[in-house]
Amino acid sequence: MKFEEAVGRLEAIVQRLEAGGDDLEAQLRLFEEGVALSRSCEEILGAAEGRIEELLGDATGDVPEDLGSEDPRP
Amino acid sequence: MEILSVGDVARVLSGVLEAEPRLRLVCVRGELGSVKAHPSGHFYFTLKDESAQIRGVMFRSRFRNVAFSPKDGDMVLVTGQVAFYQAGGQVQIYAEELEQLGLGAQLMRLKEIKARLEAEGLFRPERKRALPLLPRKVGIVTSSSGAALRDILQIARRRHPGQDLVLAPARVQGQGAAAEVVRALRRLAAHPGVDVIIVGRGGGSQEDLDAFNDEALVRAVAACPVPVVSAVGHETDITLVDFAADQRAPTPSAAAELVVPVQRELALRLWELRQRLGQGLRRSAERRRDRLAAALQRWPMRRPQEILLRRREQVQAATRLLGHLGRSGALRRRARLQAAQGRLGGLDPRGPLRRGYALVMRDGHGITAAGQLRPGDRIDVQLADGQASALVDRIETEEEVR
Repeated sequence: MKFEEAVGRLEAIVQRLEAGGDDLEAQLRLFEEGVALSRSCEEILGAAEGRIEELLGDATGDVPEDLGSEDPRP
Repeated sequence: MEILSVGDVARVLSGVLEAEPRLRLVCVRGELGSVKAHPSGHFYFTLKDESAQIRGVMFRSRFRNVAFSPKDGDMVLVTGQVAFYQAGGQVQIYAEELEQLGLGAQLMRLKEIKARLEAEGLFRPERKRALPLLPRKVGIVTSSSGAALRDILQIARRRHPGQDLVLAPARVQGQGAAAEVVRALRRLAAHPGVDVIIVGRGGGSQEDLDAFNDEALVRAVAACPVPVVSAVGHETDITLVDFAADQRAPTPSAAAELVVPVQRELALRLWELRQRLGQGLRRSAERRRDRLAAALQRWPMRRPQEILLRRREQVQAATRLLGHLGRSGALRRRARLQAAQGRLGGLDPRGPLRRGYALVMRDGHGITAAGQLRPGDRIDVQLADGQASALVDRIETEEEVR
């Protein structure tokens, strides 16, 4: 599951629990699902390692280019 | 052959040009490019058409009188002298006057492409896709040696140190740059985990940004299966790729800010949701307990014997009401009405007929006793559904029968 799907579902569950219309059994099920979702969100958020991959396909890098780096504006 | 110094050649060249009367005062029509307003106040430019270009300069004293602010792509008429600039080794036009002629050919072409792609619906707002909240991998198409990449990496690291990035290097200006960007875009889109792509470059002249007006690249951006954020040049630079992208960032840094979430903010949001999750359940349990407590507090739970007591009171009240109604006129009036209706039904002369009795009449007068008749009388016998005529044959009174 993608992060935003998981967060979206988690938010929906929280709102439903806060509204409090369900019976106890349904609420417990929602709660458990919410806990599992928040765990997987944490995992996704913590799993990224900050890697930088480079996909080389064209011969590049050996041609110096002026890419506006002289420009003082950020 | 005589050996010349560089200066000798330059002087000869200068002389030749000066001797040419057609170059002494020229009026040249062309498109401006590489314009640069130097801090000294002099204005440098290139004048070009489809086949050639020539450098030009307009000194401060003359440039002061120019009424518009010339920029790349402007179609202009330059009046001045063509001469050899010996120190720079360049033939250039020394402009005395500069007039604007309307949109340059390149801008016209750009407008034409834009109108066509717009008509195809490539820039429609409903085509724009939302960016992912937390991309698994962020794809980047730009030059591996440019400032844009440095800016993007810096911002991405600051916002989310763990963000995975995939760089597909491509030349972003010059011949073939657009095609390279297209290929890099396709490689990234096919790369597993890439959820969003930044395509861009730092600022530059209008010509430098030209690759991002390339029709094939614009189409590739629109067709990219992954959302694309364009980040070309500076705030004021807008290219056709910006229109086709799912989102336009004013600079590469801004693109990184759009695409890479701040990790701490996401972590905080998750923490908040977890808190609310627990609280939501707790509050529900509390509400249930409160409801139960409130129910136990109500009288039926505290004094169940009162239920019986109240029932009895209800029955008594109902009985009392009934008695009151009986005494009051309402019931009596209803009974009288019913009796009157019953009597009315009995008075209907056809009532007995329907039950099988007959009405005997003579000359239109009802006969109620046998003694009123004589044998030979002609009588009418009225029945419920009709009548019969009859002749009296014989009379018997009750006394005679008895």
